Amino acid sequence: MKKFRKMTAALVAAAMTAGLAGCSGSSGSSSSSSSGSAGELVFVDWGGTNTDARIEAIVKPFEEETGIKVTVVTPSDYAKLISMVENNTTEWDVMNCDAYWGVYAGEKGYLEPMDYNVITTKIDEEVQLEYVMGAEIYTSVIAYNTDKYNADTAPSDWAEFFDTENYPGKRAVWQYPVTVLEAALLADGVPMDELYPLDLDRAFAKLDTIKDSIVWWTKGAEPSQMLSTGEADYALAWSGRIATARDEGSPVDMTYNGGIMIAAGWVVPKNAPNLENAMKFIEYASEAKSQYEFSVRIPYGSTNPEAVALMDDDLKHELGQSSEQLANEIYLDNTYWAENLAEVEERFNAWLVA
Amino acid sequence: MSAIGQSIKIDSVSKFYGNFQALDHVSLEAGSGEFLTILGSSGSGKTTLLKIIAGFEAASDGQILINGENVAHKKAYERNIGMLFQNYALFPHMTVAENIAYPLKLRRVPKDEIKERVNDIIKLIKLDGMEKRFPKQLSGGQQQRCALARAIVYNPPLLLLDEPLGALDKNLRHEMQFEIKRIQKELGITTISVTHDQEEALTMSDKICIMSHGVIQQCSSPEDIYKEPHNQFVAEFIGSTNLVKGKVVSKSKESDCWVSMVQTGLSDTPIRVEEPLGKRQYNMEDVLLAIRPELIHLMKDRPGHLNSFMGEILNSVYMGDYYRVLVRTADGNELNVKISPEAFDHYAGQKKLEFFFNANCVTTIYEREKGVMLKLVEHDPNDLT
Amino acid sequence: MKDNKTGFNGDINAHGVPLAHRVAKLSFLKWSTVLVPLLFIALTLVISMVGIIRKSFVGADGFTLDYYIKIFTEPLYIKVLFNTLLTGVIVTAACLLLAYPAAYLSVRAKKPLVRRLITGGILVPYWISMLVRIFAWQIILQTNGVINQALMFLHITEEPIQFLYTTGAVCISMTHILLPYMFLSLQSNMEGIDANLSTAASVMGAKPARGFVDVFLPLSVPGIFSGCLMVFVLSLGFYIAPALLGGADNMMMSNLIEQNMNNFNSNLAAAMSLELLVIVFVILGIAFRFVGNIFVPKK
Repeated sequence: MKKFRKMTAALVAAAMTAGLAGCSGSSGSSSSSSSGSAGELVFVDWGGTNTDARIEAIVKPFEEETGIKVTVVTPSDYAKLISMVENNTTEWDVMNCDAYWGVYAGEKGYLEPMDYNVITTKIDEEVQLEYVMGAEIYTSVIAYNTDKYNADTAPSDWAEFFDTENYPGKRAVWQYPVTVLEAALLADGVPMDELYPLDLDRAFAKLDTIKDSIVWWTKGAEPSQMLSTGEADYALAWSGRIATARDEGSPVDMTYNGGIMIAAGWVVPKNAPNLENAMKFIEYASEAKSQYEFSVRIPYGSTNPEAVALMDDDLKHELGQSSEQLANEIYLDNTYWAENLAEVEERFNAWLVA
Repeated sequence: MSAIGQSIKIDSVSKFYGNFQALDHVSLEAGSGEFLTILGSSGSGKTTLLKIIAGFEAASDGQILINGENVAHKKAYERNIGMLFQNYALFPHMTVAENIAYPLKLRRVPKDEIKERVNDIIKLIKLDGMEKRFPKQLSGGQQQRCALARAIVYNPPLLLLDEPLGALDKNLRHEMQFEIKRIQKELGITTISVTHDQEEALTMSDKICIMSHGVIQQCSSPEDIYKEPHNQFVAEFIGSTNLVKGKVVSKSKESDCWVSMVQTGLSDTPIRVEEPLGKRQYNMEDVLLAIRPELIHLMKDRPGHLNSFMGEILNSVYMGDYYRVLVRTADGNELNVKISPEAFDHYAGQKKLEFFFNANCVTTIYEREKGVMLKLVEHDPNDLT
Repeated sequence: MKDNKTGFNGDINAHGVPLAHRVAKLSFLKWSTVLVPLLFIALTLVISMVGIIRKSFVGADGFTLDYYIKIFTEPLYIKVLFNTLLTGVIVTAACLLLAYPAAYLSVRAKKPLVRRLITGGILVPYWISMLVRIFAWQIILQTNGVINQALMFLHITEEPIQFLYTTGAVCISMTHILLPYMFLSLQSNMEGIDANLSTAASVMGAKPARGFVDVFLPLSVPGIFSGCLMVFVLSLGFYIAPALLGGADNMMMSNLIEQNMNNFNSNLAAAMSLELLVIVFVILGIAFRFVGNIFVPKK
């Protein structure tokens, strides 16, 4: 009977998420050769260069140090985690996800709480949470095309980003309420420390003022493309993506002024088969050295102040983690979003298609 | 009903596919109401000729005259020809009545008249009660009737039949042979049929044109084709025949016939051959004599007959109303002979027998005719039948 | 029918019981090769369907119609459903218009090479990853893309035209992706249409266009139906192409379903999935009723 239910729900989830055309694919790969008796770990990550950097910076050294064999699976898939837990078929031990989603999933009972007996490293308190341990940071920033604009002529804060009169042109904006509503409120003059709970009416009213100038993006790689090709003049984009594109020679740059920091976080699905190893892995990944090694390889910020301290000034500046920059940035309130995401997203969608 | 058929004349039509010549100056003619069959094996060019008459293919050269008007440049849909396809080509999404009415609809015949004419023709071809059926719900014979009705309902001056009975079983074939012939005669519709079936050609046609390698070998009435083959190909193609080599030793004209004395290997004395005065005679020595098996007899009742020879029976097969007997002659040739059961029984056990044939039962075939008419082509890739 | 009668029964009668036994065994094997996958499909389908139906009606507090009330009353869900269906209709029509002539030409081509070129030309993109094709369209359609540059070079337009992030871009790329399905469906149907029928029509006096309308077109209706059904049903599940090439207006049901799955609202996702499924069944039902009345040649 139990098996029957497992199968049912798995199929339901598969049928619904894959949709009728089926668009997602996943791949599993074992990262290295070490095969100690210390056990195993299945780690789910987003894939791409992000995961490549993570394997070099964290996974391989972890395997060497502990003898635990790590299987890396991509991509992180929320719906799949939900169905695994609901059907008691959890195969994953650690997943990298958005921290606010981790809080949300934890509250709903889909995650194991962090074991702070094993995880002793201290990171930014905003992202050291009951069910989530912060990992890297990506920041929603103002980006622009450097062929057309420079640091002086491009919008330098959200108020200017929302000022279509003095800054005409198309704005590429994330088709998702997270950080977009914050940006709207900051633009409308709400001080950073009074941002939460979000004044939704005010945020949507502000968004209305630039709705016609917005080109929406859904995948992180899109904004730098849109800027390079001229589809957009400015963008609300993720810092890591813009930095990568810029370093590869695309004519894009950004300002961290007003940046809204989203932490990615480590979570452990309910009934993870290798719970102890999972906590060991999270502890290892959170340590200053691991986070530093990761940030050196790929331009994502660190949630560990000691890791930031290891960076030289150039790197700090590139990641928006110098103290001057941080003064004008704000952490996303993960708890607010965990509580309100479903409702706000629905309202956002309704606003979009209205 | 008055005759609707018009005369058709194919005048020196040639067809090339690249360097390959499928038709070589083909000419033939059918008078109004005549039933003409083009008979040939696959690759003979007969299907190509049919396609050119129908307008599916353009002739490389030559004219097609229907009632004196050259239609060679016209499209198929402008020629107003009727055609019965080998697999009927009935429209599967239309009923019997709709199929038959289709060509009338195309001609903008008023609705009432269409109904009337469809009803008439359905009676004529005995498909009453089947009007509302779809082709798939009909038997093979019924499908053919329906297709025939559709091909003639608009009174085309010319009807083309493409292997009309090829898809039917034997009993049905006989029935339909007579049926098609009956309707064709009744309507007086000029018909050109293309087939590889000799029996079909012999029973249905007023005129048979034998075709081989893109060339018409002979166009004659069925009787003449059988009795007076113009060349070796025709002689061998129609029925079975015995060909005997010979040398003409003398030739004379008598009151009602040509008489040739031909020395053969059958016997020491020359064979006497009588042929009608109308038949062309050539001044040549080497000939073939064509003798049908049923015209060779045992010497039982006519001792001392003129054209006689000795033969040894190699084997015999009982065929019901006759024995088919293989006979070896003195010079080692083998001949096919048909012998009645009574005669055969009478001489049972005797190996060596004397045979004869009448002088007016032999056709001479001249080397010259062979040379002129036969043109050997290895393969015709465009003739798919 | 005929084959069964002579083949199966005949063997048993002719060779007696032992062979009959063997034949029965063999046929069991033969049947099981069909039945096992069939059973598997049926079971998984039924099980997953039961699960989805249950989820859409049973919330945390037991039976409820809330999810359905929501998707049938809130403008967001109505609008997105409408978008999804409209996109499907446009894409289906575009696929049909493009694939029909191509399929016709490929079937009627005298030279096998022509046929292979047409078929290959349409099918080759099928083997290229969907994402790659979507990105290709982004490059072609963007403001400084090939099309805009050509238009501006030819002075057809002075300002670049906004192609990207419009319904047009979504439909173009979905048409491109789904075209092979339509083409193959039409082609396999058209191959079954006897070429002699068109010839027969022309002998009877039908000009090519008239013969096509009276004979070929009606006989190709089953292919049109199955092609349209397949393309339309597949189009309902698209979300990557609308997300990457479309604007906010091009939100599709699949996007909403996925978002709700991520937001622990699988009940609403189930209700939306069922809504789509019922729509598909209704369309199928209508289509089969319609096609059932048309005589379909079996070949």
